[in-house]
Amino acid sequence: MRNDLHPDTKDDLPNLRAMGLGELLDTTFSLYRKHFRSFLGISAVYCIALLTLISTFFLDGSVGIGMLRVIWSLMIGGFWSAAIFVISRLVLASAEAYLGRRIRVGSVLRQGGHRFLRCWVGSLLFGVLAVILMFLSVLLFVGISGSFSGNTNNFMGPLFIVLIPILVTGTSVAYWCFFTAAILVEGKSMTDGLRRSSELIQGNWWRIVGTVLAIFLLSFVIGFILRGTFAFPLTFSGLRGVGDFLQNLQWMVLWELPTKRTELYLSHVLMYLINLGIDTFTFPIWVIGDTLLYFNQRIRKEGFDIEVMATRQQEGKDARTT
Amino acid sequence: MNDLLSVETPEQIDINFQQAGIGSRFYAALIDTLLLALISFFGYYVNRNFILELGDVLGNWLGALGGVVVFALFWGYYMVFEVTTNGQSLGKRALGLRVIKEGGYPITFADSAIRNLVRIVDFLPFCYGVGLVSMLINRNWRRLGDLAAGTLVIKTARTDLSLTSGNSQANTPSINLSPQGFLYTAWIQPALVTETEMGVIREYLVRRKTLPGYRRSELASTIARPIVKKMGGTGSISYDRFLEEIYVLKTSETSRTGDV
Repeated sequence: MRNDLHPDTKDDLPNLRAMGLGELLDTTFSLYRKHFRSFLGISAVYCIALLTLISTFFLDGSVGIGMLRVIWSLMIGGFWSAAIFVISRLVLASAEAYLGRRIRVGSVLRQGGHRFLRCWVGSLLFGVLAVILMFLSVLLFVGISGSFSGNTNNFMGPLFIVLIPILVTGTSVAYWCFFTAAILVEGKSMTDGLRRSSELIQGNWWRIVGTVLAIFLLSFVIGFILRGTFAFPLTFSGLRGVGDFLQNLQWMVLWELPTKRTELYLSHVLMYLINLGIDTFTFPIWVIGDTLLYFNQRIRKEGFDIEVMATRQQEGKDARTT
Repeated sequence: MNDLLSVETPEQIDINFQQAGIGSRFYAALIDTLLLALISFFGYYVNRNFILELGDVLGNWLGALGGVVVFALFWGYYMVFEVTTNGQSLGKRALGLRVIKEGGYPITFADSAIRNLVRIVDFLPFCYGVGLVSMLINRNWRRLGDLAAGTLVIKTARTDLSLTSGNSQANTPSINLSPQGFLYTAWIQPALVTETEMGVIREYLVRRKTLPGYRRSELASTIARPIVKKMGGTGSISYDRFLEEIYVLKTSETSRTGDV
């Protein structure tokens, strides 16, 4: 991030203010559309990583099972890294766009290597923590629901098992949702980034979690509708390998597509490509939304907009003096 | 930041509207759809439990009648609300949206009828797929129904979010200072404070009580230091107090000269 508060030109001065849910979502799409090619350019890196990962699914046993495992582990690790890389670049690009600066894909992709490493390690730790937490919660609540009824085959048991761990993990993960932005925009260290994220969320947990879910839902539904829109004509295309509409939709939404070359038809290749395209398109939506939510929270809790106004006032004066 | 649309009326007056984007329209549509689903479910329940005998009398016609009722419900709901409540269905009202004509006028019955008839095309092939693509492509986030009827969905006047912890006079800072108690009168020069600076000072004073202590001092210092420097102020200064004094002096000076 070059400098926190400076726009490129006077015309780009953003009107920073606290936003409600509807306005935040609309601003997300406005920013996305205004800088569509830049965001899509960054998101394309994710698309390439996903395409590479998918291509390894088609490797057959001739390379040896051990080798296959090594390749898959490397590819999954690589995909994870690429996803974190793209998320961090999209956060930077969203921040630049929100603060009224032009996004330059090349410079955004090159920025802050050391900050990316912090995001990568932090996300990995948090991912592992979330899995452990989920596992422990399941164990705990299997025990609790079992001791309530003597067995887990009652209604409350499964409900506990499914809902409570999700809530426990969700609660913890929610405190992490501004972690990447805190590291990249404010240059915080890994632990400070976590502290900063939970500091911003404190006292507004429900609102923040609700908004994050609303952004995710919107992004998912747009992907879902687009998949349905493309799956429909495919159903009537007469191509080999297509199912009925609902089957096609299910394959596309859940990525239940063939992973053996012998079972792959042109229709499946098309579905893969459509899915990749849609994922590349929808990926920036929630990252932009989350970054805007981060700035929105800074405005609400810390008067970030006042700071920007005051700093710009000073900048203007300095420019006139020099 | 958001999409503003400027409309020139026949009287050559420019009116700016803030267009509603996909996000707010999606949640408005979600609320409306959930309401309609609830009504449909209720209708289905009543039909199944209380008027089954009607099926014996009407036979296959009951299915056709059901289809007409569902169509009338889904089409009529939007039309009735849009025409009677100034372009707002319940979902749109919840999200602060409104349908208007391109020229800024309220929509008529015919506009609403066209807009909602084309909704069927927008819904194709799956869950508003055509409508979504149309909105993504169109500069003004319009679906085909809007294009056919010449309508727009805009945001109603923005209700500013209160960041002032329940202060009823949201734009007026509450300051209890009398000129006798001023600390920096020796060197304060309100005339040197620009209108933009006053705007920043007012915003700070209005919202400072909602800010954490450390942030309050940081902001007060960021705003005040350049002004203090300009006025040649010296010694130890409480920036928060200094901004209060400037605000009181400047507003009293402005009200004296009548320069608003």
